[in-house]
Amino acid sequence: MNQTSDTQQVVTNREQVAPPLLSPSRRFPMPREILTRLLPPFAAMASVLSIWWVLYLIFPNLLPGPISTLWESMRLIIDGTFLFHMIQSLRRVFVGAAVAMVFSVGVGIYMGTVLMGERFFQPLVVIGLTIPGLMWSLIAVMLFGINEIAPYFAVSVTIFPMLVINIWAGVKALDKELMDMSHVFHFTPRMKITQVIIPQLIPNIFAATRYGLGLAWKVVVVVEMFGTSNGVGYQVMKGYQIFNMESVIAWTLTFVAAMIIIEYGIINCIEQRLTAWRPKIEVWRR
Amino acid sequence: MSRLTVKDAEKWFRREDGQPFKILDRLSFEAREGSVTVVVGPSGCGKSTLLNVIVGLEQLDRGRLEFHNGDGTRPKRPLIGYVFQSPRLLPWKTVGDNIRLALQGAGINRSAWEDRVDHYLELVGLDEYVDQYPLYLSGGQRQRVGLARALAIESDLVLMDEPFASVDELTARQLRQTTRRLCEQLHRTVLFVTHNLPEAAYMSDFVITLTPRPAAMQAYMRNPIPSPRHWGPEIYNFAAELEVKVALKEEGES
Repeated sequence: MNQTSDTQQVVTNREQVAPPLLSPSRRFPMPREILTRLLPPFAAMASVLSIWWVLYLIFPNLLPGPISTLWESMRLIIDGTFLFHMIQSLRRVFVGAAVAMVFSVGVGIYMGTVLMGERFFQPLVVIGLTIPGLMWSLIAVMLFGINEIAPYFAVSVTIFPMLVINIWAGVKALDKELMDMSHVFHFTPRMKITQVIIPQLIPNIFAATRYGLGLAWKVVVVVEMFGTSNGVGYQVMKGYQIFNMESVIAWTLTFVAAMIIIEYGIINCIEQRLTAWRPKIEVWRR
Repeated sequence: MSRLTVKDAEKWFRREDGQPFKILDRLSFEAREGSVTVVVGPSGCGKSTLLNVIVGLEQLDRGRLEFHNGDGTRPKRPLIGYVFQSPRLLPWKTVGDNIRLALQGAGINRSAWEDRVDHYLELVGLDEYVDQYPLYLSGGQRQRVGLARALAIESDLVLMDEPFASVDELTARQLRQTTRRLCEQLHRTVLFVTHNLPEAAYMSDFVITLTPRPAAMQAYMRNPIPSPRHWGPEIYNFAAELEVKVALKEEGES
């Protein structure tokens, strides 16, 4: 009898507890959900491969075949060549992007909150946006020579204006009501920045990071082509000089694969973790 | 307990064309210690501006505010609890963290946070929701969290700016009951702004009625209904009495 009433008590308590944030189906996706999630990207990749295959059949002397190129990519990965050069390129991209991110968050917040800051930096940002990454790559190599500072500099100054624009736009769209609330409840300046401003800027920071990293890769490859003695760009240039199309495409493919892993494996995971507070309601996208 | 005195408060704003217009006109009143003073006036008359001035979001052009603490001191920028019209919770923080941040801002010792969070969430009936994110709560529940946050900092003065205007009438009625009960229980000095006359009749110990823009004092009345209160004919009778006093004219009407 007692056992029954205890059980009922437990059930009642369980009913009173708030529901979990994510339903079980979201924690453990069903096979159908996995299928609908993975099928479209695989279909897209298959389309590209099919077009490539057809082109190879039409121009066999100009284009390498997909199979032989994939084998070349595998060889690069297995013998460690890809890993060594990819790490060099990754280091240049991340150091350059990190330097740009630190400065752009500061300048973006300053521009969005101080009118004089906006007036001072706005023309500089607009000028920065108009200068192509290739120009910065050339200037960096001419200024710093063949060393590691050149790619860091080229990446930083190329992506800096894009990052600033995103952060600045985010600051201008900050929720005034939340800012007022933080003032009313005597939040310190540090609390306002870390608890109220930065969380609102997260979508802008991620958009800027994605765009910035995409651009940083392109700049790093260009700098490596003529300003370093290692890295993916250097290897692509080597393939070009001996007109080895298979090598050029193999390096490009492995490079793209690494970028997809970074985008889906790292950036997406961090973003989902930081925005876990948002209900996952996507009715309008069905 | 503390007391708030507003003396000859005057506030001007500028229209988009640069023309100045007056929003508060030589407004003087006192929010008495441990009582609920309800400010009633038509929409747009300047009630929210008055609260913004009191918490320091706006500055007065003329007149002054005086905060008197129970110990005789007069703090320049006192700690004030504020229940906003919309809850204004940080959606990326859990219910508990929203209250903890207010406690941190108020300079309350970290060791007291958990007790305060549990206690005030229990008072508003949301103790099970401490780890939930606000977007997973209903509008009424979020407003309760806003109420718990305003009370948890245990400031003597609490401002409420039409806190139940954005929820449905049934929820608003429950929230009014909870808030009135807590005001009586905790003896805070409350300044409550509304344009809903039955709400004013239910919530108030004292009622101040304001004129349409610019807001000037029209009447100051003591609520004769004894506590504890129940929704009934006496509430609506007092609301009708208030209606006679208040010029409920929208801006632009004669």
